[in-house]
Amino acid sequence: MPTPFIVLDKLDKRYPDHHAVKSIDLAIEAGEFIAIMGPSGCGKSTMLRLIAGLDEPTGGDIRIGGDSMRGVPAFQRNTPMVWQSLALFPFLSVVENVAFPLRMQKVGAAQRRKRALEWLDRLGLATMAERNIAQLSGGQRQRVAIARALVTEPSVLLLDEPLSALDAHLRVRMQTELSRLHRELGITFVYVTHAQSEAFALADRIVIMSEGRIQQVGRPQDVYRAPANAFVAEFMGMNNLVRGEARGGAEGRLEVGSALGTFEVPAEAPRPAGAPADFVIAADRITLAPEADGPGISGTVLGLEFVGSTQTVFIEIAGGAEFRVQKQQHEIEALDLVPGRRVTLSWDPRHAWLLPQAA
Amino acid sequence: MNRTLATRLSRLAQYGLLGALFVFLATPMLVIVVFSFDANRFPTIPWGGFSLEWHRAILADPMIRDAFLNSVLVGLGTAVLATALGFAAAYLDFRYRFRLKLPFILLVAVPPAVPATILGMAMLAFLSRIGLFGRLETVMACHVAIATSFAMAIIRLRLNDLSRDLEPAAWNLGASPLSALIHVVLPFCRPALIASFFLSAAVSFDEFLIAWFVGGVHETLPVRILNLLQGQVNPKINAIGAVVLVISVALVLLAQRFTGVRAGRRPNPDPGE
Amino acid sequence: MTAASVTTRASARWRWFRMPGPRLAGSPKVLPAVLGLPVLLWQAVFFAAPLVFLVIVTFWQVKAFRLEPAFVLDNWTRILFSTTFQRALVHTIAVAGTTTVLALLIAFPAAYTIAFRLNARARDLAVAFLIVPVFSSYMLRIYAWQIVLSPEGIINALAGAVGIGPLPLLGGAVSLQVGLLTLTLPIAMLILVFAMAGIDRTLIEAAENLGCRRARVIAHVILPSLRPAIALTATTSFLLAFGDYISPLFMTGSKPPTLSILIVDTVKSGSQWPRASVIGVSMLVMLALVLGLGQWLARGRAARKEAAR
Repeated sequence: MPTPFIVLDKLDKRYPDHHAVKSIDLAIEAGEFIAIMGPSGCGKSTMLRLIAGLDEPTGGDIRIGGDSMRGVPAFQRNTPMVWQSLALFPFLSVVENVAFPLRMQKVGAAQRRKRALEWLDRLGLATMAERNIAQLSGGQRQRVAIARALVTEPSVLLLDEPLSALDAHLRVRMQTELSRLHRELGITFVYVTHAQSEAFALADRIVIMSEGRIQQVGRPQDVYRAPANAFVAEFMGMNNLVRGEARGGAEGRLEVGSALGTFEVPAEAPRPAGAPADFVIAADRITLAPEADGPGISGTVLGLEFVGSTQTVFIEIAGGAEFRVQKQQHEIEALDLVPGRRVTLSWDPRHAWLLPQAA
Repeated sequence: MNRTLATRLSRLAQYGLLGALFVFLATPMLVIVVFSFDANRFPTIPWGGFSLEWHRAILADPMIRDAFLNSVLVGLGTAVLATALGFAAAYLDFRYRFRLKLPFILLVAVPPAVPATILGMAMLAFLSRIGLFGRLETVMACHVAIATSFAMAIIRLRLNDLSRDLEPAAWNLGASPLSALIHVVLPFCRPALIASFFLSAAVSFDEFLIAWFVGGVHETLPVRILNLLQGQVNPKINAIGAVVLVISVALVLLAQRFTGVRAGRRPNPDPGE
Repeated sequence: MTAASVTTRASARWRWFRMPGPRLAGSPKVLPAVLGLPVLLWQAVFFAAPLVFLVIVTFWQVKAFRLEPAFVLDNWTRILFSTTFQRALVHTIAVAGTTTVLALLIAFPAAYTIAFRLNARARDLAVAFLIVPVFSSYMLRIYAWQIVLSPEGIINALAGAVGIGPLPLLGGAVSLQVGLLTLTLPIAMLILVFAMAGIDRTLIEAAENLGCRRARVIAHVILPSLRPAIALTATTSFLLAFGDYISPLFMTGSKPPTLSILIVDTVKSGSQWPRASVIGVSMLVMLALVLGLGQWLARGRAARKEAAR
């Protein structure tokens, strides 16, 4: 069994005006790359600040490597963070910025310069050592911030939306860079982001938060295919939620009655008739066909939106519900999907995911 | 046509007023400096010829030399202490929330607004009762009480530009709050600290009423001038005046150089009617 | 694996936990106290205590040239009912009021020219030129005016050359205002220039595009948004002129005396500290009232209505 390295134990943070983190339990394993996601204001950044000791919890505890962090000030934790604003020191040169944590540790001048230069070299900034921060590009500053956080060789690196200020091209390059660093260093990365693509590309596990609570923890694919509740399903996007109630069913299957009709979905356990039974069907699992009398739901194409090489088709169903369906360009052309076109939607019942019953 | 003429006349009047005003403000300073080189005993027109006589005379006057030395000592002390206290006050205002913060800030900010006659008299009355009358250190201490207000204002303005993340970032990287203050906040405030040093020195160097009240036998240069002015016409006054003026203008210009005070940054302001 | 062995392993491998530093420096309460106490003490001893003591002294007595603690109202009644004080008070208010009006009338158009007519470079230069006199040798500049305006001075020498007899320039209300404007104009202009530079220019351009004449733009757009700055300029000018000692001393030879002159004279003649303190405290009360009035004017009619509701 993997070793939990950072443990959040009923961690709670209340501000005078709002309750930012509500009694959270989470175990982060040593060497893990964990991403914390959620809409803004969900408490993800507060959680990171609590781990770093920049905010005092109002309840619960944080243990790092088994030791309680209660009463340990930020500067004695060695939980360096890469800030969204980068927070580089504008009055110090690049190499002085990177050497700053070593200076705080009272490492000798020659030694700390040597180690700072090594890290700059490692991040491809060797020639920039004597520059001013103001002379660097956004991507270069990003690397300085990372080098500065890693120079003390910490066992954990905290990242607070580190790539949000970069353009799309640089973001992808920095993702690769972060991935490589994580692999080489083998330390724990705790990565706060609101960008699903970053979390999916980088993380071993993702944590979905909303309103100060953890909604789901799991591998990215699991969270995507098997959301724990309606919030996660909606937050992950590209999921269509159908609300309904249990009608009965057989072994491993449940019959769900809804405004759109009756559907069969895989179910681990039976539910009593009348119990709420909501399920989701991913946008890329839906089949479209010209309108027919066969099985499926009828709808009208509302519009289309490009997402990379695929398009999202928005379809209005009777009763005002809206479905999102993801299709390749050639399929769209084959079906001649233009706004106003009537279509029939269907899916393999095995691909529907029944949301667990709320506790 | 009529409109253009009116506009032109109005423009002319505007620039004329501004020009007259600057002449009004510059005249006294120029008079002091120009007539310090006048050979006449009484400064008037016609100009009595160029002379360095009075400048030499002040160098030979031991009272003026002592007063100058006193002014330099008091000015330097005030500059250092007011900058330190002003930084502490500005940083407290920037970083912390505490009860009675407004009274605390007012206690620092208000002194320059109290007329120096009243403040000087009050300081003399109180400080002489606790045995601090007539000492150069007391003059300096009183000047600090006034100059700290300006120092706090300048440094607080600079702290507005300090990113809220910078100090937490330093703590996060292993700096105690004290080290963060020393290694991050102080270097960041450096231009403002230099500016407040020079400005505090200028404030002290020009102050005469409080120095006159509490200084006793220890005269600073402006007090010496005040005493000279109340005596007979003395051509040395212009020469000392020129020296004092040059020093205080230099201090203020140095202070300005480091604050970068600008009245708004906008593109070409002339809308061009 | 137990928690303890995890710790050992982790610290051996990663050195994640720092050497414990001095906790004192990290304690959240110590640093602000260390920073705040010296400031507090300094301002308390050298600013607040003298002013408090000033109020206390107004109730003390002078016996045989020595100041003695007591609680008498004699000083207050003597000063407040003396015609010398009353005349000086009226005179000082009149003088400071005149200076305030003059400073506003002169500074406003000049500040307007600087803020709206000059280009950025010239404006910065003008601002620098205005800051210098605020902090440099007011006393010397008044002395310079004395030289310029005196009967044998520069202006009279020039006038004499064209046959105009010596003009009594020095010693009157005009010369007093010259001195007080030397003190107040730079500050008044600085406040107004900074306030005007802060006005949203799009407002002005919008008004001009709607065909507003300059005068209407000033009256309806610029003046209302400058209300607090104008109030600040007025109170600052009044405050400076009201408390000034140097201009009355050198430009009018202390005749008639202003309150500041009266204070110094009262202290000098027979150590009448309590009575001088009464004058000082009265002046402070007066200034507090003016500051309050300034605040009230700054808020404007609409804001006042709002507050009243």
